[in-house]
Amino acid sequence: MKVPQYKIHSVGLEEYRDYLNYVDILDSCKFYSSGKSGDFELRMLITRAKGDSGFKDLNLGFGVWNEETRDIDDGIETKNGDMQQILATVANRALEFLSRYPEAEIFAKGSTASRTRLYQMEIAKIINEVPDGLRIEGLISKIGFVDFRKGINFDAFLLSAK
Amino acid sequence: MICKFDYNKIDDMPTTIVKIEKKATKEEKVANVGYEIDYAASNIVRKTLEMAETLKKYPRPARK
Repeated sequence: MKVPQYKIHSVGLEEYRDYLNYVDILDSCKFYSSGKSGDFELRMLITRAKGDSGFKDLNLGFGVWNEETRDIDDGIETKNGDMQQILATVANRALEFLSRYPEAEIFAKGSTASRTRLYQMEIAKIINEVPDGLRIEGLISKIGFVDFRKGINFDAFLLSAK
Repeated sequence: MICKFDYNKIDDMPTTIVKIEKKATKEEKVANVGYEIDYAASNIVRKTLEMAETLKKYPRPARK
């Protein structure tokens, strides 16, 4: 992808030790958004519900890291004008994960309907550049998952390797 | 006029105590707020569980 990306730093699982009673964390990293609104630490996690096994039911979550609550806040807008760069960074990390675990299927959904719509628009922009080996599906309520297509409103997305 | 400093009187001189507050380390901050966090309500946990529910409700299409 041509959009610039932020430099990624790995984050050890010890940072999330209390969450490990509820979820498995399969990937974790952080990067920093810098711009007119300041510097924000963003974190991205690929998680699975505790008790599940395999790589089919994975959730991709990212957002601004709140040091006090030790949680990702996916409702904050950094307003640094770098949404594309953030999404490119997250997408690239997800692709790296899929290259390591080709059987994985990664679910992603915005914190709000408008955020999901934003992701949809960004996916639509790069859908023609997506590598042949990558599958992007969208969820339509009451119907299910279908191949991603422009012009359809989706409620969530599923990334997997073909 | 030349002032001479009398080193013998140094103990009688008024002193100012400068208090330096210790800055909390990262670990201390975590320890302080740890009990306030409701992990079951955290975004990380909640979104993961919601994802699992959604995927149960909408099975993925058969792969070609």
